[in-house]
Amino acid sequence: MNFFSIAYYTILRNIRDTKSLIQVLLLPIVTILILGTALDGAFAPPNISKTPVCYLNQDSGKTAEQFEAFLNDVKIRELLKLVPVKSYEEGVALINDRRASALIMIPDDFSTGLETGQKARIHVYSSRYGNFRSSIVRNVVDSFINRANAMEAVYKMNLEDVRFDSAEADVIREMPISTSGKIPRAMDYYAVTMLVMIAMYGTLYGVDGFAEDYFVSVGTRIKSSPIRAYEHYAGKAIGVVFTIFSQSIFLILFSKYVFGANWGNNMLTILLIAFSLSVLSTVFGIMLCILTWDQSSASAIANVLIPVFTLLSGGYMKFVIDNQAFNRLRHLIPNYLAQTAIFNNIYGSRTGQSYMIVAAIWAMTLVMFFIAFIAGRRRVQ
Amino acid sequence: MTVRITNLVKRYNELLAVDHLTLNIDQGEIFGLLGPNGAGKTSVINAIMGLIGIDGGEIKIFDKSLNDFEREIKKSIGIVPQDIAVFEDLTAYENLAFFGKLYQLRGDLLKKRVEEALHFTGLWERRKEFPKKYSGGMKRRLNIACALVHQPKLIIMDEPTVGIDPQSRKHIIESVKTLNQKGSTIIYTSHYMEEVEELCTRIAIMDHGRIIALGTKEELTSLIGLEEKVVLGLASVNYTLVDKIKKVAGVKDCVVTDHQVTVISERDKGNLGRIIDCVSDSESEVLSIHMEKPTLEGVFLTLTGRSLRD
Repeated sequence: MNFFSIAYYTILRNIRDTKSLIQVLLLPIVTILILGTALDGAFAPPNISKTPVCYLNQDSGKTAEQFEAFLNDVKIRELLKLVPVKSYEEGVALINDRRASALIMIPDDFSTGLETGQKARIHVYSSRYGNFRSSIVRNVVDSFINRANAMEAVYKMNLEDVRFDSAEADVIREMPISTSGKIPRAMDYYAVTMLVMIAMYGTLYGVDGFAEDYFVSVGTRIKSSPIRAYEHYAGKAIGVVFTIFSQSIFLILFSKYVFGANWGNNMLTILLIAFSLSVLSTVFGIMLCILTWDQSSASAIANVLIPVFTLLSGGYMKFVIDNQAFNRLRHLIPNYLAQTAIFNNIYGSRTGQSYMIVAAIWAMTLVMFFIAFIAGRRRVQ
Repeated sequence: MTVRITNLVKRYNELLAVDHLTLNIDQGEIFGLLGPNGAGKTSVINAIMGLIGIDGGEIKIFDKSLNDFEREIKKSIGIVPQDIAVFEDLTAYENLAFFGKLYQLRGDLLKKRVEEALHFTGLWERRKEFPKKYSGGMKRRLNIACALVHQPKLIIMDEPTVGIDPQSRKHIIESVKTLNQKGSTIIYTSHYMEEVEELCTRIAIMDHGRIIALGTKEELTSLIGLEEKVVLGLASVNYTLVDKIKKVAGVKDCVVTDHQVTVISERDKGNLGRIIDCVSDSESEVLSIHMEKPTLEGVFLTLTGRSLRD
């Protein structure tokens, strides 16, 4: 049962290291408080301005007139800012200059086509950069087409009693949408990223735990005792993982009940992610220590890498970079993986995807373990 | 026989740290292991503790092969490392309890052994304190207590008195004697020759991975009993003088430390006058002359060519 003795005393010693403990817990709490308060506005859902759209009507028929009236409806104009153009080229130029999101073009045979029962099209040309705004334009045009089709059907069935008044048509229905609990507020966001950061700072516990056995004389005393190597290392690893995991749980509970951070409804998955990250950071610390074979160097590398990982993962400031290589690289950063898993779990309800990421974290841990194992064998020899 | 080492070889890449060393240590001995830095003492101790692999030879402890019965043998060995090997963030009591548990001590037996070890080292009254509050001597005593908690039959003490006050040193020396009287075999290394002379029943002097002398204090001093040692206190020393003295007939060695020249010469050569002439020729002034009987320090110096604290 040496295994439990080592784990127990490792935990006891880590808990008594109040300086590190305060540093590890106070830093994220203060960061959550400061960034969560200061950047609250940056995380609020943005207002959508009117979408600028070019309009070219080459048809002088009745249906085209109706379409134009439709576009000038008050509710439509709340969405779209119409920019009449004189030619297709002028419209395309405005789109290319990003001064318009789309071009709506009614060809000269539009009304005639409809009246003679032939196919008639309203052309929508959109910018490749404005998918969201283009979709607004398409939806508006689709609404009109649906109505036009309905009118045609009524006409063909000779249902004279059925009247259709564009002015009365309720093509836009206002529905209140609440973002509460669906996207993270600043406080929610930083609660997650700081949790991941302190779990990763657990690397330092891994470094210290391993260094003690190899670079400090107390390790000599332990190794000269009749304890088996696996009991020794497993006990120590469990002690370190437990310490990091406990700190993670403390931060989750503190941020939830003091700051009101949203951790979603599936707390077990969040704990699984935090636990997985605790194991990863412990093994990461051991690996750094074995590769450098020097406690100071390993600690220094960890102290540089973890803030860099946090930064690149958007832990301090949320950012998007439109660079494929960078985004691929981010998937190799444990912080990014863990944050994605947690956000998916809270806001996307994609638990399956979270488990996939947890599997990736464990795979990464195994790779680090084997690197440490192989390098360790060489060192000891 | 407590320890039987036969043809032990240990290499670190190209360096031959232990060179076909053979050594037997009897039960109940306080065995002194001396040697200058790099002589191979630590490698031998680490090999006995099973901390390093060996490249040749065999180690038997309590008549069992270390290779085959390592865990069983380790249960009966206690180590006092040169560097203090205790947890600064555990109290003295907790330190001993932790190490006791590694030796499968549990419950009341653990409490009893911890108490005994703390009483033995005079730390019981301060058992609840953290080692960081201890003096250097108290830390050394705690270092020893941690090695004694499981009451080992073989205790290896590697420089247990380095850097401590005379009172603590005296306490430790007395403790070593008491442990030995209680039946423990002790392997003791130290840079303090007077400790080795006072404590050890047999002494081995190592150099370049080999034992170059082995025996009781008397046996070792008799090795240089045919020599004289003259210590000259001089106003100034230059290395030309050393070369000149070394050329004097019968002089075997000459070592300079500060304003002192130690000359080892064959006995009854009548060369003292010639040595003093050399000093006069080098325009230095003789402040003192001291003739010494053969000591362990002298043996060490003669055999290794180095002072133990070099």
